[in-house]
Amino acid sequence: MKSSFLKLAVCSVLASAACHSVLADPAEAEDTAYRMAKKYMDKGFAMAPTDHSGVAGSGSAIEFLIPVNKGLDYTFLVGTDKAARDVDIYVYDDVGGLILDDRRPGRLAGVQFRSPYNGTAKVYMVMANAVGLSGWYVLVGRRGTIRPDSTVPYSGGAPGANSPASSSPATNPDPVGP
Amino acid sequence: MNMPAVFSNHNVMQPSIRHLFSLVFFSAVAASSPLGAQQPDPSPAPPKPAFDPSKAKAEVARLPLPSPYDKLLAIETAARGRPIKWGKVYDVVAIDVDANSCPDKPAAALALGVKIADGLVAVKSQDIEKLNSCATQIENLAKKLGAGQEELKRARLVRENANKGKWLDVFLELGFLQADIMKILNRPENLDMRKLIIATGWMQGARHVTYYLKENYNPEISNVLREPMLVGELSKEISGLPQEVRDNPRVKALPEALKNVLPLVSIGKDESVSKENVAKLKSLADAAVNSALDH
Repeated sequence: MKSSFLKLAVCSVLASAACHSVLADPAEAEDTAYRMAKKYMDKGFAMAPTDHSGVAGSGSAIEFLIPVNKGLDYTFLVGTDKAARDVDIYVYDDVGGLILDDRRPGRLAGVQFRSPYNGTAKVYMVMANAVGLSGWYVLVGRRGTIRPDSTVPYSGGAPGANSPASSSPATNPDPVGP
Repeated sequence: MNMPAVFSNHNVMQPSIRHLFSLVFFSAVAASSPLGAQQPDPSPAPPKPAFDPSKAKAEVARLPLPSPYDKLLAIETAARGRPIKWGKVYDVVAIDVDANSCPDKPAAALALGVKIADGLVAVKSQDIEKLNSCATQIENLAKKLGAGQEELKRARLVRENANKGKWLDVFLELGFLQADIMKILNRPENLDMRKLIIATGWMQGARHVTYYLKENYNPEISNVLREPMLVGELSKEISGLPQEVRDNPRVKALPEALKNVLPLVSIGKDESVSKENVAKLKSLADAAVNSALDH
């Protein structure tokens, strides 16, 4: 009797731990994003959520539009919960050209660039790997620049981020340190 | 197996139970390590193939809530830091809305889009009084759309930060407030209302920007109005609303207005919008917003 009770208790604990580790937690993703936002505000970015959030499993991709304006520095960040193992972000211009991406392994992703045009960016959030479903939350930061005619149209992504249009050294959006 | 002393001294435990406890112990240890932490990988992973949108399928998200904030910031940047009195633009363009004057949900949604755009211009003008006025109107309109205390809890933070002059925090909290409100509108029964908010939000933002450009025309800066992709998608969404929504007296001007606006904002990346077209865009946006608010 005692043995059965203990087995039942142990199984409950294990099941609970297993469920906890794979359930998506959008609130946690939002909290992560909020902490990321605070960090970028210290760098002068006006940060705001994009109204883009949800849950996604391994291999799924979400496409969304984000308006951008010429001469502004932008940072696009993806916060996730602990179920995420690897999330990536890709940014295309409105004629389908890749601006830059962040494909580094990790459960947060981010890119930073200076928009060379007015219009809309097409962004893909790709959940490359997750344990079950993972919550995700996208934030956008924008910052005015004194010299819009600067010769640095894209100020690169994070170290390791791919920036085909950039010839400048990568700046550090450091998206993985909430 | 070497068991921790706390377990091995319990002589009453049967071996199977002991194994179960060790399993729990190691499970707990494993669970305590954050899943997201980057573990050292003994062997380098093969390079990850890039996502190719032309081959892979992606879920298309809903349209975003447009913000005039970026356009105002871009105008300031193009003006090379010359201070611009956005408060004066706000005084001319912003429209106060009484939530009680909205007879139905579409009317409240249309008005909410207008006030969200006004609120962002109030943030840019760093005017506490204007912002508090917008925040109150946004709260009242959101309640009309079904928002409760949970969705509106950030309104207090918006005001607190404004009173402290922490405008980047105001912008952030206002953004989260909008996102919380939009969550209600993501419910299937409210999706049409969401589209209406976006449409009037864009139109009211266009009113602020075109008013400024009309008064301070500069061909180089006029390109901030360029937005073919977003307006094109928005136009499709509004034209695709159910007939009963499009027949609403406050909605009926929107589909045509967006169709007429689209060619004016569909310009090249280096093209300017003529002064005449800025005025035309302003007239279209004025008419659409006035109709949406039944003014």
